[in-house]
Amino acid sequence: MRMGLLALRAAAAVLVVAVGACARPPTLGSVLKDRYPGYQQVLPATSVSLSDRNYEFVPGTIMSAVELRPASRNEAALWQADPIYCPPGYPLSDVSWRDKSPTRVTYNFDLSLRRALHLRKAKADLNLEENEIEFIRRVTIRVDSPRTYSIRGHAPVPRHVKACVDAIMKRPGIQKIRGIIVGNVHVDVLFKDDASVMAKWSVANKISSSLGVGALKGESYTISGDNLVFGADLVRVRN
Amino acid sequence: MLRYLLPAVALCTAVSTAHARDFGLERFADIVSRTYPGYSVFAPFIEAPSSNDPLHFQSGYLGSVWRATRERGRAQGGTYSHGDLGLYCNPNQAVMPAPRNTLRIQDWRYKTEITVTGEFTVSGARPEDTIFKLSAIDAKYIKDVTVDIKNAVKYAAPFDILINWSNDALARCPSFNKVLTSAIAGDVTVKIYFVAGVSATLQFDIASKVKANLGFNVTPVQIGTTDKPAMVLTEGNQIFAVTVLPAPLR
Repeated sequence: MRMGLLALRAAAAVLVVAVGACARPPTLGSVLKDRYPGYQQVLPATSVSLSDRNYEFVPGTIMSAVELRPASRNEAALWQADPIYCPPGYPLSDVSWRDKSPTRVTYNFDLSLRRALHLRKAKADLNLEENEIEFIRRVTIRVDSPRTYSIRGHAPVPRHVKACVDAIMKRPGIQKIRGIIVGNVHVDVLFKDDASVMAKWSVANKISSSLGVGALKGESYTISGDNLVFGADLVRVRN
Repeated sequence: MLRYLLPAVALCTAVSTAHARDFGLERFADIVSRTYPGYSVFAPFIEAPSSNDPLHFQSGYLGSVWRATRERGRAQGGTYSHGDLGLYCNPNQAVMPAPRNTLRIQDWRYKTEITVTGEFTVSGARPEDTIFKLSAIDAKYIKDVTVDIKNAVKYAAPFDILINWSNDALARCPSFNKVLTSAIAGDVTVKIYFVAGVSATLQFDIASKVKANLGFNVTPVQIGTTDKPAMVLTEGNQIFAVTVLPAPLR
């Protein structure tokens, strides 16, 4: 009887951990990892430009970038795109593109459910303290009209400026952009009714690091951007 | 010689506090760094160059060289202060690249870190420290400050073009040590919320100092009520964040 109870408790513990590992609060990094594999998050997020040959996110561009957070089991890597780059000499409109499926991910922070789904993991994924996560009711990330531009397969011939490539290859951390993902990105955070204004400000500021800074409106917090390059397929270039 | 510009307009009030910490800018530098990784605050803000500058006198062109010093943010990021010297040198063929939309900073809020008696509450603070260049004596009347930046755009150019532009500027100003390599500009609105009971004259006086220290030209406008006095300053197309590399670029 006693052994049976212990086995039941152990099974329940394993189940809680297993469920907790699957259900995590969404961040833009986790949405990229789950829904658009192969793309890494790049900041500062920038709007797309189809016609400018000097646009810094045309696939084929060689650029200096710093990895701010490596890829993990749950999230795509986060990169800082430095404004040091050599464009490939053609505009983005010359690059083939494909529509992707829109995404909507919601995570509810209902108290009982949250405890069952492993509070420690939730805190880590949103980078919040225990008292801060108490203020949040729900997080939703929505990506509309996503499309990818890629030079894999059929690609225009790059015509990099030699002086540019010679100079940039002397610098560390050089990456080549093989593709980008563009879309209308919205992050909505709903706070609990009893959260104070200062608590909301504090939590909103911390969450905003996943995309940038959004708007705090009453009980909710919204980050949004249209036609944003929110991910890139980067490959290291050997100097 | 005409390209050797001295934009000393309202920028040099901080000479005596050149090494003082500015807690307002430190906090703002953190939020700028989080929103635009790799970028630092450029203070005072400057108007982005436009087509109304045929002789290229204006500051803020990519590839221009500067004498600028960097102060660290509270947690990350930093601030390039150019107010103390205000010297820069533009390339001959200075052209601002096409702007691209980027993320905006929306209603960022800073609560002052001073007591009602005008003393800083931040550890390690000294009497000469400031908040947006205001002394603690003035800043004690401020409850908080919000910054809202609309229509944020990013300027960037290919590396070989930046090298050519900056080498051109350096040929005439070889002692300048920093190259402006990218900039983010936007329509900046600063709202200053005062503690209740502050006179209109004092509000205007403090807002005017903030205006001068941020490099604004507009007149502060009163927007609050008697219970919640406030003033607002709005200036369009201001460069508030930059990336800077040591000169010469290589």
